Amino acid sequence: MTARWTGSPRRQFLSQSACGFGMLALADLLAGESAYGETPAVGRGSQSVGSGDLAPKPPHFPARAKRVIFLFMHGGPSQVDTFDYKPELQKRDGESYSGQMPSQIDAKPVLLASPWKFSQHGQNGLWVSDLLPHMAGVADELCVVRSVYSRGQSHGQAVGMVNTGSDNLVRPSVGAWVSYGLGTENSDLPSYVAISPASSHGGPRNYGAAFLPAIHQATVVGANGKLGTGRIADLLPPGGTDPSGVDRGQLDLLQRLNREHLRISERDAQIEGAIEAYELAFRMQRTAPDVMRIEDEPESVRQMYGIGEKETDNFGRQCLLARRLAEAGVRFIQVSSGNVWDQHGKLREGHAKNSLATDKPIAGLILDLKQRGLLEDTLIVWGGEFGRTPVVQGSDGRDHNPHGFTMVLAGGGTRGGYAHGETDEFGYYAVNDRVHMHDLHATILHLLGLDHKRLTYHYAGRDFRLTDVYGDVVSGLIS
Amino acid sequence: MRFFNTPIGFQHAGFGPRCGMVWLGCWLLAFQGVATGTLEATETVPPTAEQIDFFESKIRPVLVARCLGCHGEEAGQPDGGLMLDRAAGWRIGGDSGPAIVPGDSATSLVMSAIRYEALEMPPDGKLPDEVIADFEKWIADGAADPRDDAMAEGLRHGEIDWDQARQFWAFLPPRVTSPPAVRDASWTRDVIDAYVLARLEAEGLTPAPDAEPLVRLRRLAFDLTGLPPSPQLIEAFRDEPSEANWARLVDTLLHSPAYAEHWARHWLDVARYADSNGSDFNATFHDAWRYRDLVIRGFAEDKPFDRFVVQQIAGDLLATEDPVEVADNLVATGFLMLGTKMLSERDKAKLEMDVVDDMIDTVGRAFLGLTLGCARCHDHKFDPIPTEDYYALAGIFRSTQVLDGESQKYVSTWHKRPLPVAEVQSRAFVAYQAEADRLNAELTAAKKRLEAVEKAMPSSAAGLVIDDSQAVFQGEWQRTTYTKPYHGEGYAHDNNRDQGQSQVTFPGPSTPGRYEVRIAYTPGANRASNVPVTLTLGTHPNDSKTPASAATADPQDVGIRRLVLNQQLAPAIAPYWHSLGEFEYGAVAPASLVIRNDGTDGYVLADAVQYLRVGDAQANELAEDDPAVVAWKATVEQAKRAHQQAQAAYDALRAGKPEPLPMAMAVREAAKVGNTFVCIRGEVDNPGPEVPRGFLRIGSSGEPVEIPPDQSGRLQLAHWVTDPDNPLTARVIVNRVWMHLFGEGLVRTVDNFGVQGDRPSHPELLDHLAIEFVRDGWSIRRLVRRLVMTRTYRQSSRYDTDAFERDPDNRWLWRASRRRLPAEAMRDTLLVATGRFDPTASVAPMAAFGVLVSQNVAAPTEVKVELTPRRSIYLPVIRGELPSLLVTFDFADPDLIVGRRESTNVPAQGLAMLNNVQVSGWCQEIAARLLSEHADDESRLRLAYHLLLQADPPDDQRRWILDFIASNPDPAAGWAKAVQTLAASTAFRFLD
Repeated sequence: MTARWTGSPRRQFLSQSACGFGMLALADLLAGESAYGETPAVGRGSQSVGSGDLAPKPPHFPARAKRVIFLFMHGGPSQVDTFDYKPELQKRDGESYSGQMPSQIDAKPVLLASPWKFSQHGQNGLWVSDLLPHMAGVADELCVVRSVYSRGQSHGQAVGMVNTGSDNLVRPSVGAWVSYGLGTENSDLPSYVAISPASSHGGPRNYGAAFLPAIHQATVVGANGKLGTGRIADLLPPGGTDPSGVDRGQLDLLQRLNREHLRISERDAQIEGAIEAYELAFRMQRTAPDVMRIEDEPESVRQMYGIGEKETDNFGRQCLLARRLAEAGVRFIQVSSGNVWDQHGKLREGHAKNSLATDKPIAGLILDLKQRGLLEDTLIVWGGEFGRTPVVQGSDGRDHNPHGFTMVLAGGGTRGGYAHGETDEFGYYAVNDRVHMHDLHATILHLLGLDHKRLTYHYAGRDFRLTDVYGDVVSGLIS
Repeated sequence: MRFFNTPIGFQHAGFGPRCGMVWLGCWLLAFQGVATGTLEATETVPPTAEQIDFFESKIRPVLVARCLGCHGEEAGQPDGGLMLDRAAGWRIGGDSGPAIVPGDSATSLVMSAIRYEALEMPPDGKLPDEVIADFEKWIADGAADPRDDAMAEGLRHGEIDWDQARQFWAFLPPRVTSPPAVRDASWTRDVIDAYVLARLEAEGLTPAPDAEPLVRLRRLAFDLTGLPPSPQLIEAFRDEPSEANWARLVDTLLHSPAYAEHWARHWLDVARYADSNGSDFNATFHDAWRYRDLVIRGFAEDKPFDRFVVQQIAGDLLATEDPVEVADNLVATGFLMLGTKMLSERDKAKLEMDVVDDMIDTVGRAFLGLTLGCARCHDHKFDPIPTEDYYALAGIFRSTQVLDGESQKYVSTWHKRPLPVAEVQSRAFVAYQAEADRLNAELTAAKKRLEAVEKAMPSSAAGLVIDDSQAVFQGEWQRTTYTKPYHGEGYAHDNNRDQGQSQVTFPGPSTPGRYEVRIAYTPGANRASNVPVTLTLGTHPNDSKTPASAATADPQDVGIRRLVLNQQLAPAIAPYWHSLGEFEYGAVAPASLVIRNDGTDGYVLADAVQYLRVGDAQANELAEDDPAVVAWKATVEQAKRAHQQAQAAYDALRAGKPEPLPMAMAVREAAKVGNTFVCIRGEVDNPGPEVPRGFLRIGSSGEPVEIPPDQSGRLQLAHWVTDPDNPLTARVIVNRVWMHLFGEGLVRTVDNFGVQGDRPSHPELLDHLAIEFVRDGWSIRRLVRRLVMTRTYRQSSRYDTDAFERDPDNRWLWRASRRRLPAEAMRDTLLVATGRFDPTASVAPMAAFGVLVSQNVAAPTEVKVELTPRRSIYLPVIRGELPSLLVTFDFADPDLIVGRRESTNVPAQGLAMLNNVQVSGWCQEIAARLLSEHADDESRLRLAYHLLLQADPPDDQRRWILDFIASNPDPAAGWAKAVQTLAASTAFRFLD
């Protein structure tokens, strides 16, 4: 299996590149230098030479966005309670619903009005419910796609769709495709980081590389919506929190042994690769802890994200970490709310709680990116695997609805203060300017300068794409 | 059945309704009555000028305005594969076949689409009726379309030219060749070497010298067993690396249990083996380990590979009486079921076809090296596998039961089959199970009662609480747990009957003093509003300070208070307490509280009574000898005894538990056996024509096998796959074995022998090996032996500038290829070095897990089975929770069919070797072992090298390492770091 996209094999990369890493390593050896050289600058755009697979690659055409932060609202937030205002639904609360209902569903054909009030925000009067007052406050940055539809009546399938473009087969995740397509801007860090991903509904598959080279799978921090220690596993010696705990003498000995092995073998791409990978690992050891230390942020910034407030602290930390990673050049960052949005019952309580936990951090993230000039080339994607039914389940719940729901984009070349597409009068089915999940994926890749039809990988006898054989770029979403 | 012995082409007629191209649809064929030349047929009569004119004025503008956005060149991949921007586009059609049949508007798909009958086209609004009428006229009149046909060929889904397709190397039968002549005949030891050397000589290359004895030994031991050679073996072979010793070594290793385990793991990669389902619903595969053991046993016994294949595809259908064989045959079919499934898919028809697809894809790649999955949605773009061949196989697997009911709503589960056991055992087990269920129910009840009774403890904070279970009942009382909340195990009511006859007496506090008295009940509209409650305080009447409205003093009887309780009202104190007030208790008479039902107007409830010492929280702690405490203790003791007895009875029974009735993940013939239909574009709800069950046409040139109507066809398929003339099966497995020993296959794409796959570097050699393998009874062990005894295997991996310039990828085998140690071998080697390695097989490793793998643990991350020192193959493979260390080093992803593992070289690997808690722990253990086994550093270091690198330490390395250790203030820590450094070094991670 060979990657069509990746250019020359590593061996050639090393021999062609004047400062190929294997050569550097050998030069180090000759100069008797430590494996730990100068500390490189922390931050984005550190252009040190990295592993060939992750080396930055030019997009197919000029990109609007350089990186993506995907805020995954796992469980499925309700569109009719957040961004998709349906006066008819509000009017006809409790009335029977005579439209089509999918089979295999537990909701009753009775309409449930949103318990929340909607009002218009921003210059273009974008409708947002009072569940999300902070996101409403940045309405002019939001590109609200109200006509998304997807596949999968159950979580497993729909989570697979939003994360990998497949509801049933094992496929690379969106972030892995992006990493494969563009590489990374900062070779001291992974190209793809998943913050607090869920272990359910496919778990690692949703941030995995499947058949793409393993280097494109996400590096994980935290789990199931909780940031935990906020550290990368095995980055530092057991119990260590600080690169100063690393034994440089040991690393020197290790690379000395490795170079000796290489010397005896005269020339070997695998040993060279391992030596290079160790050098990269050492750089990561030095760089990543600093990037990930959100404590270093000034209090004013932390407050923007709601850090320090009980309800918003956890998700605020995740969003702030996402910003720091984005700023440092990580290509794709997924932030997961945890599987919390699945309100088959207790909609009022559950959605209120989840909104409270995420609304301010997300708005903080958008404002913070904006004030740093990063929003223009950072694409934010907000949404769940599906939305929820406008009809009621139990007395205070909504069932799954992949047939029409809302996802929100911001920054990265998207059209702010804009609502795209429509669902029907009750918000059940996407009817106008429908956007399939494949279309959304095609659009995300497009904003990154990638043609979703040309971003292919040859495996098991054919070329695979994120969008399978589907997907159209939704030009209306692009500013 | 014959394979390729008949040089004649494939005959459509022989396949009956499986004519030509279902994909293009039979409409076209039906209309024109020819199987080929469709384009030419329509072009024989040139259109008239009027016809062209009609097209240009009425049809083309509509196509441009309403259709080409999605069905034109600029659409890139046209919707449904249908192009309408040229005549050839609609003639060839899209996924549903030709869009227009000239002259026949009734059967033209375009017409039903624009009439909104089948598809609704254009989707943004129906065309006006007059336009639809124009289309009808145009088609009826022959559908004249002058637009350019230049692109037609590229678009064409293409009839397969079977004669030509069979000329592809992989579909030709393996060819016998005589071993080539070589210049340096002294180098060769086996015919294999002659094939290799001839090629090298032709390329102007020379083979590398034999590798050093210890390098060879290390390579051989890991290749054959996945484990390092012992230090003793290292010493012995280094001292006498003779031919005889090499042969002896090979045979010893090949017959060790470790050989079977190591080679079984290779197969488990292909079989996508796992102990859980993963995906959306990570259900436990409790019985998968039987398949694992079957595979290990197969390699240990050197089961003929063809037999092994047949068992896995159709073991359940093999005729045998021997119960051991029956069991093996059933277990083997687990191969078909091990894939990850979207069990919660609510569309069960779709799920079923996804499961069928998994089986087809797995059989195709595992045995045939073909990527059949491609043909689910369209004819294979590169290989001669039309969609109908896919659905011919789909019919076989749809007639095979894998799924079986639901474990919970919407969540499918899979079929399990009991394995044969002696009847005595089966009867004993059934009897045991019934008794165990009964005793377990008793135990559960006893445990519940004990917990409830213990909870009713009169605690210090709660003062003295007396549950109704400690009260004395008179009259008819009904015990119940109907309405929560209540104290203790339940409460009692009088059934609203026998008014004046029933009473409950709760003891009062034995210590005089002032108490607040509370009473527990659950309120309700049917309760009595006038329950008489009588307190006996054991005092003089003038002590009372109770509220006058609630109590009236009785001058006749000292210390008696009569109160009336309204049980319709909700008690004010959570969760169920109502305060009767504060009372002074004395010692004149035994205190009590009596609830009666004299003249009551509804149900009277008795639940519990609470006495709280007023103004003295500490005093609420009751004396040991308080009657309430004594009574409570007695009750607890009694409940404890009952619980212990129930536990003992249950344990005694379980101690004599007979062997459980073994179950296997196994398929069976489905209740309904039959053909299936093509799913257009792979979509279940878009059925095309039915296809008779069958195999791949490319595989055989003979007459298709008749599959009896009452059989799935799996058995026939199994025999077809393992037919000695099948050109693929033997080549594919021989090539995989070669890859495991030489780093790369002779065909490098080991799972893809199709057109898109690699071509064999040594085709004659591959054919020679395949032919000999089949002739030799499909013996894997003898094949492995033969390969490791070659001179080719023995080469050094040394670098050679000239050879490298000419053949950088080592296609011609001018040296041995350096390889990464497999993940398991790394882990196992470290465990062996600690001295704690546990080679025993795990039996039913998932027994402690529930329906879902997450059910026996608080959080999924706590599934830390990898912490055991067992050999890695015996660790459970829990999808989504794979042992992280193994995953870091490219353990085969069980979600995929992995014939060849990735060999990545990423920073995470280095970090894991240096910082992983497990690795660090093992290295500390190894260091401790070095320190305890030897007193001097030289010997310690030597042992470390033998344990980890299976080599002697070179002088300069010895100096570096000992210097490093000396620079550490703590020798133990220094040694641990030195060991870990060796484990992280490339010399450990790679096989030279």
